[in-house]
Amino acid sequence: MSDVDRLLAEYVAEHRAGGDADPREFLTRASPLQRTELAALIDAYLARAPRQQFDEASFRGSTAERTVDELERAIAGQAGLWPALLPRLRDRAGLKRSELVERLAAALGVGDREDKVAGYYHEMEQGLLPAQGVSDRMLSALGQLVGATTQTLREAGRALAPTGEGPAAAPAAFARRAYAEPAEAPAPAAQPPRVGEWDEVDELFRGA
Amino acid sequence: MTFKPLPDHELQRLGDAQLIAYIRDGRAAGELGAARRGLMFLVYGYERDVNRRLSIKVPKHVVDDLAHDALVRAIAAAFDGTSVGEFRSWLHTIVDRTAVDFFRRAERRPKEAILPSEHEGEEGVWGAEPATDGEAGAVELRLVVEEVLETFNEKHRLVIELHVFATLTAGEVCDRIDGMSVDNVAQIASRFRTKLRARLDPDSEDQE
Repeated sequence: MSDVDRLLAEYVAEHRAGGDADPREFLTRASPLQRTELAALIDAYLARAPRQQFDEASFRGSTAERTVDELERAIAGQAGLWPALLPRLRDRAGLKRSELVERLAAALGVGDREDKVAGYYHEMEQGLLPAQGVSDRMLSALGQLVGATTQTLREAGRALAPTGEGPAAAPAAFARRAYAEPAEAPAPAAQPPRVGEWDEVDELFRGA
Repeated sequence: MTFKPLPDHELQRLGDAQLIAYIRDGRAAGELGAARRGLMFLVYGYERDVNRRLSIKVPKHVVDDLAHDALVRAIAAAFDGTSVGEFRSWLHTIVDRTAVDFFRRAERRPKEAILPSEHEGEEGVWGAEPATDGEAGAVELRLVVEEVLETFNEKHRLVIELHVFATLTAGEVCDRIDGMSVDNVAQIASRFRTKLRARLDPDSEDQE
């Protein structure tokens, strides 16, 4: 049995036993000449591996849980994949939500209505704001702050549109539920004012 | 439409397509708790292997983010009905594309990516090796394996799948494939590995 065979067999055994099975650890044990071959075999093995059994204890607090939280907001809401995309883009840009809102309001020329922008942006991250109403101008300004194109943000907002049959597939039904039972209740101060005169901020976030 | 939430032991038994249909139906029925439960099984079931595969291809510090992106993209496409083929295969195609996209972005913004070689000497971080065509070469490893597999006929591909990737012994493979001998299994596996080495590193033929 060659070293590559032996390392692959050990890797498979550790993977099947539920161990760490960190490929990099096994690759460092292969000689430089054999490393690429071992990497290819491990990669192909992993691509064939069946779905792992769910484990509640391991799931709690994991990165998988955060992804599920985001996807849940996405499928429950009206903003496509924004709940799974926008917080990540903001994190990668190194911006707190308050910082992003401040810059976004300034970029849109509505710096004097930052609270209102904050409320709408919060709804975007939570999937509560209908994506189709958000203007290209707003998405362009947001994209420049977080390093994404307007098209990327628009397409993400269109994803996951309910297409099934049945009464609950109607967007309005989801809208009511989503607003009534947000996965993460927004702070009262962040709620956009829904009363009063329609203004430029409403136009940017709901007027398209 | 009638939707019946399933207990965990039944969710565990669902195939990927059935699980995705369950999540979609739960959403359509307004049973968001049940839909979330299904998402938990799906995301948890694949996240670690997606992480492992990406850890072969991209710098360690971006693995979690890219794994999240790949899972979200794959699940959204499956949910929308725009994915191709079975979910696991689609997911791993998205994983490959996500790694390719990372290197494309890194080329446009060189400082964004910390190359593995910058981690040399750091414990637990895979360095610049294995190098096929530089770090980006590792992205294509699985595709190389698939290409080499395609050069074998269907029966021999099955031998390779069972013996190399499912790690069945030659005798166990013979039990499953009519007319196959232990010697044949060994020869086919050896030819596969020789072809793979030659494809990964054309100079390797000279070393044999």
